[in-house]
Amino acid sequence: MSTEIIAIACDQQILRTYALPFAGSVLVRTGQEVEAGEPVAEIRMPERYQVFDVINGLKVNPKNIDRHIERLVGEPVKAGDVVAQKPGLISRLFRASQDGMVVAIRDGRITLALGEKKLQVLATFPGTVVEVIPERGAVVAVQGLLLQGVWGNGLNSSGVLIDLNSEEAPPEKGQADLDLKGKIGVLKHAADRASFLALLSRNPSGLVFGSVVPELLPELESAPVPVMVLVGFGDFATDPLSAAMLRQMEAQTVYLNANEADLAERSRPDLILPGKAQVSPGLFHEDLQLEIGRRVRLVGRPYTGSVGEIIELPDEPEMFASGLVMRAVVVRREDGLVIRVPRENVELILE
Amino acid sequence: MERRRNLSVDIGSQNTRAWLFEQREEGFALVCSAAAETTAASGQDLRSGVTRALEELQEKSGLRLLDRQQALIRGEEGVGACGLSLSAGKPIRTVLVGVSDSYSLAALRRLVSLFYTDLSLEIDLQDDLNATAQLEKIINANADLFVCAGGTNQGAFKPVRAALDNLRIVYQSLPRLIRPQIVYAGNEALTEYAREELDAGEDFHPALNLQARIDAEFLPAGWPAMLGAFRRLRRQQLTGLAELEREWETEALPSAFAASRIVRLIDRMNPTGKGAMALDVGCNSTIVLAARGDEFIGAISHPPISGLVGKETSRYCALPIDAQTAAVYMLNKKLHPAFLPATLEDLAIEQAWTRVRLQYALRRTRELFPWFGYDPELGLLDPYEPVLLSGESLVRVPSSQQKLLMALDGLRPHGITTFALDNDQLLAALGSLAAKEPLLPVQLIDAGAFSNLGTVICADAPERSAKRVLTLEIDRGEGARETLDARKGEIKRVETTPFKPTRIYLSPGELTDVGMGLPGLGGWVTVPDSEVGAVIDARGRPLDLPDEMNKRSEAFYNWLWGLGG
Repeated sequence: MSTEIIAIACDQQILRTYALPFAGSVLVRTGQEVEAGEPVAEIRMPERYQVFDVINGLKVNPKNIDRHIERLVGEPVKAGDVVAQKPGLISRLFRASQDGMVVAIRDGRITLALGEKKLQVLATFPGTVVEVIPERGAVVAVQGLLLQGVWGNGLNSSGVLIDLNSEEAPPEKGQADLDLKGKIGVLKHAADRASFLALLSRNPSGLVFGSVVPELLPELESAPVPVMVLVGFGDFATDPLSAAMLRQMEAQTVYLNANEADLAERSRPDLILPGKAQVSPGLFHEDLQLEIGRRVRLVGRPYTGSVGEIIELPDEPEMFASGLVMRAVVVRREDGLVIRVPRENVELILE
Repeated sequence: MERRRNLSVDIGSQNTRAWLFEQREEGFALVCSAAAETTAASGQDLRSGVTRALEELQEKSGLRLLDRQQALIRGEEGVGACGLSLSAGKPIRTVLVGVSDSYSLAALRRLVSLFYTDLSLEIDLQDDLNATAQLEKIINANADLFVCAGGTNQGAFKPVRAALDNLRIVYQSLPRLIRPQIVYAGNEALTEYAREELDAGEDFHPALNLQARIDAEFLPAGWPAMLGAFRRLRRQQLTGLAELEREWETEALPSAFAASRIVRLIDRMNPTGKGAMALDVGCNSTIVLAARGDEFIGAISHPPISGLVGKETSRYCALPIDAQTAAVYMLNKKLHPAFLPATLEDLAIEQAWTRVRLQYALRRTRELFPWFGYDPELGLLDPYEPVLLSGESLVRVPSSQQKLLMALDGLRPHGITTFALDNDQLLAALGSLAAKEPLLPVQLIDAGAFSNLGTVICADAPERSAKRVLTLEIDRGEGARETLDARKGEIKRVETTPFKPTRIYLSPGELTDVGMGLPGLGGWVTVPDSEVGAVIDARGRPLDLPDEMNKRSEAFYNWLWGLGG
């Protein structure tokens, strides 16, 4: 059985791999400090391709095609260079529209790779390069506060964390504090589309919600700024550990990596507040497992978002109200309530 | 007698399962099974998860399977044949290239549907797409796999040649770390041209033409090439797979493909010739496999979560639960796939969602295979017997009655059929061993590896509710015969007798169809002993669910009660 692990950690070594899907150039070296947004690796690729049909384009006899093609495969071309031509009274020319290279000549068709574009992977938080992956990228590490969520829309940014829960009513247009530019706003709950769109109109750098209603999912997915959900879909209270960490992060510059959760890859969206401590490369995360004394966050109604400590791990499976027989974990919540839940229905907290 | 042992391992996205089989005097038998967390994330070696599963298997079986170096002990002292199946890994981003949408592209969609693919682009060579636009699209698709077909043998080839030219540019120009694989299953006159033109070495997988003639399609012609491409990709993507295959002298099969071998085998073993079907509902996907003679249908679907699905799930809930609550459950379950329902409310949503996922998967299968006899309103029109239920969502359910009712509501079959249950999730395990130890799956199936859930007699009649549609006469071979009436809208159960078959005479009403060929036609049916028994589903098709939430809930309660649940 696999147990999900969620990090709500105050002094955590955070390691992140930034790698290209292609063989390219690594732009950093081990030990180098990198800033958020700094390129770690890049590859230069053609900006576009062009396929030109010489036979139909120049109206030439296919038998004599070789006479009309001026370049060889692999030959570079400059913008304006003649690649193929049909001389005569009214000559016809095919010129390269941009700098590039001939990549194929087949069946009377010339394929050009034109222009150049850079594909880069950028660091999403400041840190130290602890490992270089040849031709692909690097691993960047930082020591700091790490708060993971359960859902993200795939974007990332940074900004000063601001708690929007204290706003009694959304500010009216024209008010000075309307603008959230450069800020990452935190709200316990997103309850409807109108209030979410009103938030977006204030140009935040990112948004963090404790929970959101399911109807909002299309808006969250298409939001132009990173959005992270901490607990889940529905109307749930933010767990006390996450709430405490958000308070610690308040008014400081944080890095929101709202990448899509991928449990197979053990990756989750997160919020990072880099600390001042040096990273200690070579340290590995301990192998966390369910054991007495560990803290867990509960999943599933009516306990979603509750946090408690494991006080018992019975060996024998037991029957739950649903009729399913499952192995249980017994948890004492912070309010003293003792709860028995299936082992599958908890997230182990990495503190 | 020497006790030959065979091992099968299935590496899923969440769990790695292992099964140990042993040859005994009466034939092969399952010794035990074990599971451990899959270790297939970046930087992990999937052999770690396999070793953990084998350690548990050792503990459960009391047999030594691993040596001091944690390597599998082979030969007489250890394990003979090893089977390996795989569904872990990201979906394979796939580009299809065909000469027409309705002809070669449709066949290609069917071909790739069992190989965990995600279609990122389809190129129809009859579209007015110029060569530049086609090339740009193929590059932007950033695919792991290209599958190209088109043209009958010796037929026209110009557009296919042009497409191959573009594939060559993509393959040769992009410095992808994971080399894309190319499957060619078109006009065989072009196969050698394609091999030379693409110059892709072992990344090129030629197949026989799927459509050698204009009126014939033969998907198995493409399977070896697809298997080759699947394995080469997964070996690059999943650390430890190539080494595991080498150490165990085996080759991984896609889990759904491995399972399909067993469905085809059951069909061949089945004297009724009705065809065999298997349905596997897991947390990430639903698999539909159906075989009848030379005809095979198989598809993996990933049902979306939307407002509409929330409404449908709410409609099939055995408790009064609104669409919003159902949507909350489904979205959170997607975030935590291992979550298991602990409350009655969660169980009701989970089971309703399983019904909806089955219906979606059957609809999707029908879209891929237009000749598949399924109608979204009327249900499964084609007869299949047995229908085998597998996967966490259908197996990990509190009672057999609930399993059967979910399957009935999901499929809505017609006529008479038998539902069986793959309690040990053996389908893929047997499939991956079938080529090495052909007797093993046959003997296990004969020995009852799949339990008999129940025989279902569907009585469909255009009558008003509560009107008698079928009378049954039950002969248990001892004592007087019992009679039973089934009324429109209800489900009834006839308990079967342990260790011997029960004979039931069906006497349908004039308009009632029980699958004997014509409405009103009845006859004797012999029903073997099963977990639930013989079930009369007289609800008719389409299924008439009350509009009001509480009445609907009451109807589900009554149907489950009728089943003895």
